[in-house]
Parts: sequence; C-alpha cells; structure tokens
Amino acid sequence: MGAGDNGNLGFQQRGGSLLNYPSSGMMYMPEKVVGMTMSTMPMCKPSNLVDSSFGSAWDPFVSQAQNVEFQASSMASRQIVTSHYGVGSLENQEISTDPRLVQFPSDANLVNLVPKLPCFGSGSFSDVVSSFGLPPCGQIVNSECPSDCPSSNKENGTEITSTSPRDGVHATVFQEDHHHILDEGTGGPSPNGKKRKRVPESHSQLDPRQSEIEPQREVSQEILVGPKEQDDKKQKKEQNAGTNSRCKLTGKQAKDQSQNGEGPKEDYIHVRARRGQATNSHSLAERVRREKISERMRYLQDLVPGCNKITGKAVMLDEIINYVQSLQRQVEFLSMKLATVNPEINIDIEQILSKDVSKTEILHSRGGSSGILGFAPAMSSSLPQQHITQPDGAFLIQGSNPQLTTMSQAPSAWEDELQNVMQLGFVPNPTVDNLGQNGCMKVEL
Amino acid sequence: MVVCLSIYPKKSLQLYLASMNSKSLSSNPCRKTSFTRRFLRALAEIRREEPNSSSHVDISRRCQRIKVAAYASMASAVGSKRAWSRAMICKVRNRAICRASMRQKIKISKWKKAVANKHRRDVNQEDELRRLVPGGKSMDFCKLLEETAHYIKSLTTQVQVMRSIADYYST
Repeated sequence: MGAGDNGNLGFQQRGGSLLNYPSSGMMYMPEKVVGMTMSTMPMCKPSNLVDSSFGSAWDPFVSQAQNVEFQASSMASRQIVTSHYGVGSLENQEISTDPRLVQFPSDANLVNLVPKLPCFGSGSFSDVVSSFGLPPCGQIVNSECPSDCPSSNKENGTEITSTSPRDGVHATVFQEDHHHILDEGTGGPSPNGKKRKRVPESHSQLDPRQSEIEPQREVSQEILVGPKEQDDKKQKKEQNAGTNSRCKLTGKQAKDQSQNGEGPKEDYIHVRARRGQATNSHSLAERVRREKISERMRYLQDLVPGCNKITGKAVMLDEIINYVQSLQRQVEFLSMKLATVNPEINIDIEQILSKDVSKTEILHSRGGSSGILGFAPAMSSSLPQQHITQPDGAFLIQGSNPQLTTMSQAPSAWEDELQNVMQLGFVPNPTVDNLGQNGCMKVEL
Repeated sequence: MVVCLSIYPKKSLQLYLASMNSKSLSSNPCRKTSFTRRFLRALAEIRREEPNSSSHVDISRRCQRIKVAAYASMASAVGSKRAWSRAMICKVRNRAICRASMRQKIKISKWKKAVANKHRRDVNQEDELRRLVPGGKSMDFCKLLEETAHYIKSLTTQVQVMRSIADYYST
C-alpha cells in the first residue's frame, strides 16, 4: 500500500519527507511516521507544525492529540496513541514498536485490513471519530461503504446517546489524554448536531486525505486486533473493542466488550449508531425520538401511582389517561362540594395551608370517606364510560365498596347526577346527619 | 355570570406577587400557595355574587363556576411557561367572551362527537390524551408527554388544595 511504503520511507528519510507530506495531502501520515521512528525531538517539531496546521483544518482533537502526544517520551508510543488506540500503557509501546513497524510493510495484513475497514461504515461517522480520533477514517467509511457491513435493524433497545453531556466519558475508553481530544473533536464541530450534520463537515475537510490515511488506519487496526496475548494488548483490545464495536472486524471481542466501549462513548449530543444498528439518518432520528419518548414515559411512570410494574407503552398510556380523567373528575366533584358548602367569611389561608400539611392525617382519619368522596364521581360521572376502571380504585382509597353499593341505589331517586354526587359526598360526613337513601341534600353543616 | 372569569388574570398577578412569602409545604410551595390564594379569592368572589341558594340549578351553576375558577387559578399559578397552562388560560378567556348560546351549541357538538367516539372501538390513546390535556391537539407526541407530566403534577396539587379547603369547611 502506498501508506505502508510511505511509512517505510518515513522511517529512513524523515526530514525530507516530512515537509513534503503536507503538500501531498498526507497529513496524517507524517505524524505517524514521526512517531513511529525513534527520531529525535527536532524531527517532531516540523511535524508539530504540520500537525498544527492540520489540526486547524480538522477538528481540534487531532491537533490536541498531536500537541499532547509529541510531548511524550516515546515517539512510537505517542504515535500509536495519537493514531489509533489511545492505549493506557503507552510506554509499553516502545518495546513493541519494532514488531509493529515490522508489520506495517506486510502487504498481506494491509490487504486483509482494507476490506475490514469499511466495516466502520456500520457505525456512524461520529462513532468512528470518537473511536480513533480521526475524522477521516469515519468519513471514509461513511462515504465508501455505508452499506457494506451487515447492519441489523435493531439493537438492544434504544440506547441512544442521550443529550446529557458526559464529558469524562471517554476516559474510560481512552485512558489517556486522548479522550478529551475526542471530546473536543466530536463535540466541537457540531455540538448541537446529529450524525447527519457532522458528516458533511468532515467530508468536506477530509476528502483529500482519505486515501492516505485509510491504509494507515487499517494497519493500526490490524496491529491492535492481531496479537491478543500481550497484557497491554488486552487493554487496547478493550478500548479498541469499543472502537471496533461498530465494525464486524473484531467480531467476538467486540461482542464481549461492546458494552464497555459503547457505554462511555455516549456523551455527544449527536447520535451514534450502535453495533448492528441501521445507520440511516432517518433511523437514527427515529431512535432519538423513541429514546426521548421512553424517557418521558419513565417520568410519567413515577408520577402516576401504581405504575411501577407496567412495562408496556400502550398499557402505560392507558394508565395515564385514566389517571388524568380521574383527577379531572375529582376536581369536578370537589368543586361541587365546595359549591354547596357554606362559606366562611374569614378565610384563613394559613389555616388552610396548615391543614394542607396535615391533609394526610385528615385523609387517614376520614379514611373511607375520602375514598368515597373521591370514588363517587366515578360512579355518577357523565362520562361515556360508565364502568369504574380498576386504576381509579387503585388510587382512590379502596375498601369502600359496601358503602358504594348502598350509594348506588340512592341515586335512582334523583334526576340530577349532581344531586347524586352531593348525597354521596355528604353521606360519610360525620357532621351531617345524613339520611340513608333519599335524604335531602340540604346543607346541614 | 362570567364576568368574574375575565378579571382573574389581573387579580392573579397581584395575588401572585403577594403570595411570595409562603410556607414551604411541598416541592412546589410557590405554585401551591399562589394557587390557593387565587382560588380562595375566586371562591369568595363567586360566593359574593351568588346567593347560597340550595336549588339544584344554582348549585350546579356555582359548581361549574368553581370548577372553572379552579382550573383558571391553577393555570395562572403555573404561568405561561407551559403550553397547557397557556391553552387553559385562553380557553377560560374565550369562555368568558363567548355567549351563552354559542357555548350551548359548542356543547351540543361536543356531545355528538363523544357519542360518535363511543361507537368507535379503537379510539387512539394518543388522541385521547390530546383531548384530555389542554392544548394537546397541536403538539407532537414527545411534547405531549412532557406536558402531560406537568399537567398531572398540577392537577394533583389542585386536588389536594381543593380537598383541604373542602375539608376545612366541612369541619
């Protein structure tokens, strides 16, 4: 591959090629090449310049990666961190740099990697970006093979990246300072955007560097994935599995650790497709919408009493509707009650409010009366549904059935439902010496 | 008869400003107390205007007024932050403006619609919810759920206060 060759060349001829890279558009390459070789610090500086200009064109995370990385002791480790893995134990990379460098030129690996890279297309652009800190890679993926990877339509439920920003999330995936790079990188360009918005941005910026960066990416991926025995590899694998989770490349390991990788990644406002999920912009938007709706349903579940065990949206909606209806009926009933109560001229608000505090005690003392009071409207309401639904009884006080049955007989004598309710309301009132069936509903307070 | 309804907004503002120093009784102290004050004012107003007769018609009319007053007070207490409260305030004001005959016609048409709905087995839950929550007709589902949650909270507060008032009066 061209990149591999360039990389090889870079090992030997650092200085000359460095300056050439930007002009050729292989911006990312020099950075890696620099890191890969054990060149001296001076070598880094020009690359730093390159990178800084590069970072300005791109997103900040790239430049930051470079700034951060080039200060590390080991070029190789830095390079690897900046380029691919964000592995925690960067220093260990030094030792393994050589074997990795050796791997680079292997055409077989590169060839193997090429088809795998498109797998990133299964993930959204931002996924890949966050994974690798390299927008071009994601952009490549998106542009080239959006549909190459098999993408099952549904993932495990809606795990959309919610809008709650979690800045420190990346730390779990990319242990080092890499994660903040990612944060800025992905958050910077489109803080309010979704995947759709991000893609065109990066596409426009990263087009020229597509081809050069791609093989490098693949190589890095291969290096990451290939050897699994090493301890540091394990760490990388974990992180990489997260990064690769959208790609079928890592298959099983991604499955094992997709949870680790995917969870921390969701801190952006824009949505990322999960592994195995459709990456269509429509489906992503739909997923966001569904997540919002489910979040609100959960909130409603807390509000409506007795809905803790309900797990269906339809059933939950039924409960909500019933609850709202019963509340409105209660308001109606209470207003009726208030209409018949003899008003006291001196309305002491504080007293009422203090009574409100001890409302629960009042309720308890009145026990069934309140239940009847609350339940009565359900019986005599003029709503189309005459049956008394269970939820109504659930939130009103139960155990008032015997009295209710007697009450139900009473209304027959009355033509007006209002009067029925009044009677029902006043029956349990201890101060009102009420009459059994057809008692006059005159106020006897 | 509906004159008092139109003066709610002015009164409510004064009441709201006056009720800022309130006991914190619940998670929404200001809202609860402001609602209480407004509602009590409205109650006093209604009682002042109508004699406390025991005829069914009077009582039913008074009940209707009290109910509207309760909703209006709650909507004013919540303010304009919520779509449902805005819709409620508009509805109350329109009610006040509408003539009695027009209201009657509207009632009849609504009753007919309800009858038609009864026969429709598969009344969509979402439509039902839109019907219940004020202002729910012109909202997307997500917003509707949000408004429903807030509406439920306000309704429970309203019921609590009204029940405590009723209990206070009956003891």
